[in-house]
Amino acid sequence: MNSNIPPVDQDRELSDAVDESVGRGEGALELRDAVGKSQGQIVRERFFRHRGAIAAMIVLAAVVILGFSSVGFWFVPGWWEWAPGERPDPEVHGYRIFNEGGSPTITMPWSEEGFGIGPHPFGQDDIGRDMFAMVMRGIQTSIIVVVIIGIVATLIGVLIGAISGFFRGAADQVLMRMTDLVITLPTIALGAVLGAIFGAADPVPLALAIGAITWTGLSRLVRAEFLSLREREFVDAARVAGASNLRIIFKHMLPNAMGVIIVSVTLTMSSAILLETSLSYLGFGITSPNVSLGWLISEYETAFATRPWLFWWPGLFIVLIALTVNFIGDGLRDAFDPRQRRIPSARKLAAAERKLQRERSSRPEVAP
Amino acid sequence: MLQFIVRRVLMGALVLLLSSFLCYLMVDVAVDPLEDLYTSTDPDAPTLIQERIEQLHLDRSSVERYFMWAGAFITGDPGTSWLTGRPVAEELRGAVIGTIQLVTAATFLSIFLGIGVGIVSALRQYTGFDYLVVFFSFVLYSLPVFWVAVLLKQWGAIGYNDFLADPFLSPVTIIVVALLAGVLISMAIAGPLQRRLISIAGGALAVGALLFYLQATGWWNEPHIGPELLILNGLAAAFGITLLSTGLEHRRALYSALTVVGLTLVLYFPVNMLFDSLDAANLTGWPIILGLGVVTVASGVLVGRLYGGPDWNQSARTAGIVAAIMGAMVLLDRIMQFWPSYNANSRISGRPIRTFQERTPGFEGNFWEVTLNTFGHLILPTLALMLISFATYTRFSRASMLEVMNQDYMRTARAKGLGERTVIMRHGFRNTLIPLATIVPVDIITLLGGALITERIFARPGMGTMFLNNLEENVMEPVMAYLVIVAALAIIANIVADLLYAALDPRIRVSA
Repeated sequence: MNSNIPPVDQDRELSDAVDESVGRGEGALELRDAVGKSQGQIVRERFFRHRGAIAAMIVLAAVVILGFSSVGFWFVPGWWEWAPGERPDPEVHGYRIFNEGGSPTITMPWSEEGFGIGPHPFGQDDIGRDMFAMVMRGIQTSIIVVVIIGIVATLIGVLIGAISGFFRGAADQVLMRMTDLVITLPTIALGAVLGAIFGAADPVPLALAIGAITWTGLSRLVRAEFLSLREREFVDAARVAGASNLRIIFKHMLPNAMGVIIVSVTLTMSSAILLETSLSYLGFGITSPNVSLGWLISEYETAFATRPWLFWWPGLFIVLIALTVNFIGDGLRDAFDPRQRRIPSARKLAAAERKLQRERSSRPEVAP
Repeated sequence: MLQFIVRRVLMGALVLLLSSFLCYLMVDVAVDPLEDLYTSTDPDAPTLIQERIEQLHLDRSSVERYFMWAGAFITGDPGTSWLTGRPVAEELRGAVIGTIQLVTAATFLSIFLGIGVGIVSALRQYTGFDYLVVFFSFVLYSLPVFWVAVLLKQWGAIGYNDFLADPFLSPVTIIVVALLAGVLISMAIAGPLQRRLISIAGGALAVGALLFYLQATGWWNEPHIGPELLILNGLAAAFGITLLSTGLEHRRALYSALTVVGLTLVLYFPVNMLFDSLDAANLTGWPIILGLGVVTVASGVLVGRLYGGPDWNQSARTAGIVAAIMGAMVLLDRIMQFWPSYNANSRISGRPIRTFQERTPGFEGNFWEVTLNTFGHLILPTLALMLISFATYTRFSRASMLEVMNQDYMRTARAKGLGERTVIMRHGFRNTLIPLATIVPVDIITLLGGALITERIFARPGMGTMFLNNLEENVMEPVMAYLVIVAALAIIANIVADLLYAALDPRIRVSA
């Protein structure tokens, strides 16, 4: 670690990288970054330095905006020409299927025609339904399902984890055995059973049901965090000051466990996307007339040899959403982890060293 | 310790009982055995409904039926499917075998590769290779398995089978692949510019030469290892394993590894003759092969022992590992020898990679051809499963290794002058594996119950298929049997993981 810090020499101006107020040696650089900042500021700064997470956040925002604005949501109409499941009418539009076989009309910037989206950028299926509209509706469904799962899982997981970590004893035993109960079954199997009960008609009940089985990891983490937090001095101080249990939990301990919770929820959500699409693919999740990305893939799986675009687009968006959420989760974890250190690469160190040498040699010798 | 185990097992049994009760209630809601009759147009439907209600005791409450079912299940009778009339126990046996066949190779390969790549990536933290590995593990982690499986079917099966019909790689392809491989190798090796350039050139040349050799000898349609590749691979294995396990300066280990390679070459033809005579007597089977494998490893260890020296166990370990690799290669070579005749089989007719089920219906051949047929069916689902668990293991072992690298004992090891190999392999690697011991048992068990989607897509018989099909067909008993077995396995795996962790890490104490 010490190699990161320029050596202290007689030249004060050059060595002020080592600020006496924050000390020297291991962790000095990190401390310098943190001086005079709140916890939130530190986390935010660290997060914004994670380039992958920022890029992922922009892409995810773009996908969400595209998905919700294009085909409309609820009572808000969208700007896209076709509704999900709508087919061009030969009498009005002059065609049923635009390109031969319904292939995508999107053209790439490097093709002869230059960039253009055409009337059916993602192509059409065998009966002429516009794929773009279907995929966008699928994105909407998946996002809604994932957000609901995230909320439900957070509420249950935090509540159970907090209660069993704070009160310990019998409450802890009962709640943790209950958690074991849910953990013992593979989520996909449990999801299939729940999907068979709640699935098909509406994504909301399905999401609520899946949320009710995906909180286990979070509750264990929150419990562990609470077990260690309740031994801390500030909790004792609050108790001596006469704070009630509820106040201690919500005002003193929960904010301190926020990092763990946020990271875990993000990662739960990324696996929830795959869970929902998998269930829909298996036929235990969302089915027609609702559209989900997983359902689209199962619907058009057999058409892969003849109309590969029907299969590519929904899959691509599943991967895109899951990947971006994963990256954001990774960035958040780095941001909340106090042990994370920023270590410059060997190349950067060498460059800094050279710069230092240059400055030193270009400067007249200072008399001691 | 004993108290801990007893307590955990009792607790587990209680959890299992409760979970089976809740599952029964849920499955009971999800499943409607009368569905087909309600929608049927058969004039006898009402009487049939009445019959089925009596057969399945649907007139009683679900709690009552749970206790009837649980009583039978505990006494060893998981019930009978009302649809097929087959006992669930029978169905289960086939399913378990199918699933184990599917997940074994995938699990072990992904553990080995994942840990290897994860550790190398951690050692090269903040380099291009590390970023590449992290990025790709994220991508793989985000892939839906059903999507990957369809792509694999398209390119892995149809594409590769088409390629085999006319196996020709253009020179451009060879050069591009070789260069890519060279760049990847040099990124993993890292170091100063000169070393990077050398490893790019070396890697590219080696891969290019290999591809050219495969092309020139028509390897794609007549795959073989044969004596010449056996020498080459054997030398690579001997030096590589010795380098990792003891360091090349440990001469006795190196010599015993090389002796094992030499012995393999000498025994190559006799072993093949042995297999020929076994084939003729129709005796070849997995028990014999397994026995030969044990003998191989044992003789490797013996070679190391015979070289003696104060630390003979290191030579024995090295020689044992090399012997296992060489034995596997001889076996692979034997299997490959039957590739042309398998490929020419009328049921296969030049399309060796299969996308459905676990064997080609009506396929007949000797032991090796049947094995090839099984492999041909296994390879795609194995790849699909591997890609995803590979990513998990890479991420986990990378994080674990990074954690270990920052420990004080690593600094101590370096400070007292140990070589980098010893520091990483003995102090770093071993400690990296400890946290992995907690996830591997749980993962294996989860795979046993959880290869649902992969089994479904590739139409393989297995636990997942059994569960899904019966859930769809409203047959309750197999669904419950699946859920209870998977839950029981998960509980056992968790206990095993805790014990393993305590055994491996002296800082952890198990307490009841």
